[in-house]
Amino acid sequence: MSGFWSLLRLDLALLRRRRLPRWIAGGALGSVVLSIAFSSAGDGEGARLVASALRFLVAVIIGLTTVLGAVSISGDAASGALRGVMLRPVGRPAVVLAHATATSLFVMAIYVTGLIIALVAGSTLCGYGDVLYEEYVVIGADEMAGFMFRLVLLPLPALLIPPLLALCISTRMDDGATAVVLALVATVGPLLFGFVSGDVPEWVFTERAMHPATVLGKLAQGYQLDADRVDSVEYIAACVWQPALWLISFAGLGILLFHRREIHT
Amino acid sequence: MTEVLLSTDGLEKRFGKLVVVRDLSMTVRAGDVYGLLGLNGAGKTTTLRMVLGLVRPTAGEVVIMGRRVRFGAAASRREVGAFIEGPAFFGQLSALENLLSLSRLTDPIARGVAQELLVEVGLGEAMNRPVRTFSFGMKQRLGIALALAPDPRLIILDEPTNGLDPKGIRDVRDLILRLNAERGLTFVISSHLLHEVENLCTQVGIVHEHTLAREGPLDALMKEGASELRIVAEPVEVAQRVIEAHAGPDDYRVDEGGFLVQARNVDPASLNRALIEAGASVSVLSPRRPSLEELFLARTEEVAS
Repeated sequence: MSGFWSLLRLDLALLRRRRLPRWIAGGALGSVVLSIAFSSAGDGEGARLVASALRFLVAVIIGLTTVLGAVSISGDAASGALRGVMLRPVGRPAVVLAHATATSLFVMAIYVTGLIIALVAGSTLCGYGDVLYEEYVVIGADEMAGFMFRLVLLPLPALLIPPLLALCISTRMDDGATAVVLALVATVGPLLFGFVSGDVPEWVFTERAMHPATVLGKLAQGYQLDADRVDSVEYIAACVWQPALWLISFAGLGILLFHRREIHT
Repeated sequence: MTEVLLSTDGLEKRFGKLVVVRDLSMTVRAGDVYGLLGLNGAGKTTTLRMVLGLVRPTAGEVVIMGRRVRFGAAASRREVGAFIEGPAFFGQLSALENLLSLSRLTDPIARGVAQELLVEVGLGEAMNRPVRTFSFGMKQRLGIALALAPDPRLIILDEPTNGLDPKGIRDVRDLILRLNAERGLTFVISSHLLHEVENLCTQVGIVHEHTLAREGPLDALMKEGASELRIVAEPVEVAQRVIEAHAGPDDYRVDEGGFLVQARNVDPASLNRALIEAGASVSVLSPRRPSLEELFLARTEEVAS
């Protein structure tokens, strides 16, 4: 793993300086602001406002960070910068893991920032009352704080899967555009298929990968009543560990693919 | 015996049926400025890529400072500075940031050292500008600064003077010669600019048709070429008659505004006397050694035939 920390520092510096990450962050947070601005949530319906904002946020993060993952190594290869790095005494696994870590931290930062914006907007604009289904209380206003906290944890591993899958593709590509197309076909394609066919594509990455955001959305619409399930430790563990295993697999595959790659550009 | 810093043995690279490098064995010793010469497509850059572990050899091995280079392994590049096929940087970062960030991947260097290095390669005023605003020549200079940081023993430069203006070429040449003389740094320089190699290198390897056709000290190579006499005399018809009588009809040619005569069978003093006695006015009569370019072309034509 020689050079991992230096590579990570370099990759984080590049994320701050490059235009694409800035546009992605701006686009994702802008989508949150827009969804809040056009929300029809009324008094006490802060959860509904948060839910609609997060659904936008999740969709934008998946789409745009897939592009980011796809150009991470292939873009550097196309510009020749990868050659500059590989002429140094750095391990190939370190190159892939540093890119994966930097991309993951970036996705987390955007998601958490978007979530905070949505929560603050929900609190100040509407306030959090009980979430009701007809006359039944699905989540009480007093439980809302804990429920919201879990929202930070649950979707994150699933949100990291598309950019890391794209990164995996990127390890074998010298051409950023081809990598982007392949990555979008592999990640957003099934989601679009699910959207068109009306089938909730929970099977796309893992059985429950998209569940937390989906569940929240359904809760806010008042027709999903399995709040107890969302509360259970087993459910939370499954939401975190199943995608986490996929993440580890993608990172491992990326390292394997990059290890065999010759640097010609 | 001087330490061998870099050697290759039977190096070969194929892409399917296409042979790019074939049975290439070269040796670079400490303190050498080694010029790797070859026509475009001869296999120079692929050889250097294999040396640096960027490309996996199909056969053969590379040894750097006693360590066998394994494809993808980091250790062999620890004491090697290099740039291959043009400069490679992050365009969004400044020259100084690139230098600090990339040298950190080997051993961190202090900001002051990085600044001095950039001043040394002529980028003192541009060090804080993003590299994407640099001209090719400026990037080339930055590439050389990067290869020098932090303190390698062996520096591999692929076409280092490409894109440089005449002053830049002279600066790079002076820098290489100074670092070689003062710090004993060893250089491997791939180039097709033969007069540059002639001015710079102590050892030469000629890559032709994907293999090393010739390797050895530059001096020895230059001595191999037959020396000539350059004669400028008027009237031309008289001079030509005398030269033909002295040297034979096949051992002279008209070139460079005069005559080039094979020196092996001609005594310059008697030829000069004969020219004067025949009424010719001799303005130049000087020995001339063939340039490296002529030797290189002769060698490659010899191998081809």
